[in-house]
Amino acid sequence: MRYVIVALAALGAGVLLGQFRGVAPTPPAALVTTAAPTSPPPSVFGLAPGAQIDLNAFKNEVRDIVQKEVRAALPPSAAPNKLLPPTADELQAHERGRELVTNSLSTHRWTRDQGLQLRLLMGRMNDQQRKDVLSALIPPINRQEIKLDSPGPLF
Amino acid sequence: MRKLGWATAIYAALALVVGTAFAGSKVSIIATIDTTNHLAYGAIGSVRNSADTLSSIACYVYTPAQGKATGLCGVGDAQGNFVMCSTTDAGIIATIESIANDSLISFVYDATSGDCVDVQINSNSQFEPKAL
Repeated sequence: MRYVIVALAALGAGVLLGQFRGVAPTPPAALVTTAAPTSPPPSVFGLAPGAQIDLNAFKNEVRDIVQKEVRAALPPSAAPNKLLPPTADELQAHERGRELVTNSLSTHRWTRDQGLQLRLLMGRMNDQQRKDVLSALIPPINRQEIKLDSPGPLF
Repeated sequence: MRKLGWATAIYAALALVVGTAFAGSKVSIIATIDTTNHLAYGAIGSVRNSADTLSSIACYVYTPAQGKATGLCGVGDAQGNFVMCSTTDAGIIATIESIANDSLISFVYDATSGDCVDVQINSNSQFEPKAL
């Protein structure tokens, strides 16, 4: 049942995406109106009439939503992180997390502020990315190459 | 005089009871880092009660909205050294979650990955409680 819901969600997202690319199937005649609108058409996705949409950003957002829904629907044994590529948001969070580690390696310090930043980024990464960042950060801490500025949690 | 005798006897009995309550084997296990064996440990109460201002010991669990929980443990010694490890192993995380107020925490870390190889939690009458 879950898979059916996921498939329908993916299909719906695909059609939605297709509409923005101008390749969606023609809607049924009953839904077509030729009358000139008396007022501007209602905004779609919160956009003001006539506003430009960033198609790439929209596509990334739809892809992220679909991927997250698919992951949530799959059983844990399916290891969804191995089946699906990381989303754009996950990639961005991971990249930013790695930058924090690179900076701390050059300053030899891990500040509370860096910890708080990583705290927020961790929630946007997938399991493998979280492990990758921690594996880059913890060994230099254990070699005393990075000193923690303040007591408390690492992130 | 007879009343004084009874009072003395009661005080003597009380002293015996109180003395007994504070008896027993005690041990203080300060924050210790063994970099050769990649082992770190300490009893929470002893580390808290250390005279220095650097010693620390902690474990915690981070659970994301999606994906696996991550457990982390760390020890800082009186010399200012600090080591830690992380894990997503459900068994090790369950062990971390069993930590009590004055438990001893001990872990072995992988020097290359920073992973927790193992974690031991020990609750023991010999361990001192945290003072202020």
